Amino acid sequence: MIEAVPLEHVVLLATILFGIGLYGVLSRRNAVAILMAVELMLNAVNINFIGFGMYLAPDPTVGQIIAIFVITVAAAEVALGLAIVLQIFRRKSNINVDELDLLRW
Amino acid sequence: MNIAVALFYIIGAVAIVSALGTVLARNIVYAALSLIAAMVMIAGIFFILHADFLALVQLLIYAGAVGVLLIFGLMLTNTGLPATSPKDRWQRPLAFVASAGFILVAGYAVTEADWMRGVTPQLERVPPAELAGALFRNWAIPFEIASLVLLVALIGAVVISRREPSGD
Repeated sequence: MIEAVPLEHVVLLATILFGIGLYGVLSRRNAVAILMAVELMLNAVNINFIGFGMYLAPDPTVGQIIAIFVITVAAAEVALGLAIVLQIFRRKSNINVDELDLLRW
Repeated sequence: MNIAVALFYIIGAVAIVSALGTVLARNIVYAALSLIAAMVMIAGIFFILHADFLALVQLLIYAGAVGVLLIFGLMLTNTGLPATSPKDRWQRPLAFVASAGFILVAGYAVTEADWMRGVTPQLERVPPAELAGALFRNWAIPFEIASLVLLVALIGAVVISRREPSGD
């Protein structure tokens, strides 16, 4: 490959996607929408892992393997998160995170 | 500029637009569909970065499984309310300042850093067989732990989302 995408642009794309996901996590109130924004942030991190693994790591497999582990943990996270959201919805008929203040005596 | 490089910028732009759709859409089903579009675009980015196996995994797990799971979650928790309400207006400027600040600071750091000092990127495609070899030899113990994590998450999700037993 003679001409390649500069690493800066790959990392910049990941930064922008992570920032958009951060905005979603902070501004949404629906718990499922927050989970979706978290997935976006995890994907941005995966782009970084693969980019750095491709361009800088001495062993090019390392970045991809860590990305596989991130995907595994993200799948577990979304399954458990949705189960918890579902149970909250059954009890309160609502998944607005601002109204889930059970811990505030 | 060859085709792969041009495609990177096009796909990256579409990914950013889809991501914005995910966090800004008023209708939450549109948000979920934009999220799936963003996942597919990120799979395209992986293809361009020569990570073929990761691109297929991304398509299968994120665009397929996680997307369907999120839409199921939306269906089961349908409150009939819009995704955004007028009451959360005050959160939005703060969230915007936080994320824009993050993008500016991290973006400045990324563009100023001298990543390639003393390194010549080889950019060779890693064949899936080599990836599998590394995963099952050097990374065997993390792999086993990941399988345990998945098992625990699976059982935990079933137990948590099960309806309460009425009698016992």
